[in-house]
Amino acid sequence: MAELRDIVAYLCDRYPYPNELSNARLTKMIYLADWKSAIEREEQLTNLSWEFSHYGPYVPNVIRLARSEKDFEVKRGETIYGDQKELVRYKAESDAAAGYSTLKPEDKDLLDFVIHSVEDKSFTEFVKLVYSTYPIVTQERYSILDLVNLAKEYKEVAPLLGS
Amino acid sequence: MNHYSQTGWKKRIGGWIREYWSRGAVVAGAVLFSSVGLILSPQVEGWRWLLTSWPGRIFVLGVVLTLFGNAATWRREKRLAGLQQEVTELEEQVAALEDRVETRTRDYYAQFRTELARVLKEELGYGDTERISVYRHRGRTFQLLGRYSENPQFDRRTTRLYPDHQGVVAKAWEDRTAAELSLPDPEGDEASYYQTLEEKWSMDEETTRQLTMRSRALVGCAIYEPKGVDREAVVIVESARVGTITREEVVRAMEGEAGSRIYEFLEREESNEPDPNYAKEQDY
Repeated sequence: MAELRDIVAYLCDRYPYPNELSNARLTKMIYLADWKSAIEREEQLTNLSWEFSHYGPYVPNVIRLARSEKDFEVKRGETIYGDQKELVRYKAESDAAAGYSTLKPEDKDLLDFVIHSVEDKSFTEFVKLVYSTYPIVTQERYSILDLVNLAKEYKEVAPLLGS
Repeated sequence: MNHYSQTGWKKRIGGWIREYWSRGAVVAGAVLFSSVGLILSPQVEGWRWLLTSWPGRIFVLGVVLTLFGNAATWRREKRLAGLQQEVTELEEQVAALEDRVETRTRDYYAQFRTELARVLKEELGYGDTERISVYRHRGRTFQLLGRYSENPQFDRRTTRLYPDHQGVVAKAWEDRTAAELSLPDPEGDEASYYQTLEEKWSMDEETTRQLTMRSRALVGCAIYEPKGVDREAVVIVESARVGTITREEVVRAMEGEAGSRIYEFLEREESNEPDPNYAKEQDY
């Protein structure tokens, strides 16, 4: 299974607008990767346990990892409206050459798919996409999202949805 | 000049020195360093040689270039610092706006619930034995977008996608309005309740058992866009009792102020509305 560290590093390296990579955006991109993986491979890319929290699909692991690993930098600050913001940056460059050791080529394809599917979206469209995925549409807030089983359900329902 | 403006000037000068002292030191150092040659040279012609001899002209040119170059660099750095500050502020605004965008989407259901509470309580005057729900038609399913009941048990949602051939919601979507006003009492005759729903409304027992409200009266009404051509959604008003809601009352409300209020919410919040069709189009 791919390590979260490699996934976060890969997304930080490959996402074309690194200044946009807040903890919220990065976490949701990893959720999209896990959901896509559950649909296509019947397993998550990570072993994270997703919760439909107040902040949508959420795990605290991404920001914890960024804070604890020396290769990442978390820029903390406050917006002009007093809201907290945390931008995650990947500082090390050695992994780019090493090829993110725990990521298989199909994992990289999956992450590339996520990057390409959201890079040109406005934040409104990005958030709408996340909140329109089957687990978030069908599950109650504060529930744990069993993405693999929900993907099985979704594959039965998806043909009934519009094109 | 008053005390406050004097303090202001002192602060500005202090700030300027803190910001630029290193560059000033470099300029002064460069000039002094070059001047060493002048001081040590015999000055037979006085200072005129600065303008008449080649070494003197080169020295003057060097000093002038050093001063102008540094002055230009200062101005440029100041402009860059201003732009950098502007970029930081804009980034902060983007982050704040993103947070607000997410809040709008995150709170879609809560906002819709508030809107529907007004419709059910203020415009229809119903109480805690009633409930109102709004569904969008997606492909061959109905998606539950909004729900409100004063009763916490009825207010719950078990799922938000339903097949589009079952229940009053399907009939209302098809025929504009639909009603079932006296289902058997599930407390007294459960079997008859399930049987009626299955035979009349194509709802199997398994589906009925998952419902969070065992309604005895339901009225469904399609909501149209203002031109009255396209159906946008279906509203279901239901009651746990017989005799509280009437078809005429609900239809009148949905064709009037209450229907407009619901349509306006759907229209206004469309960009934030969760839509599984959109996720499917994006291959998620």
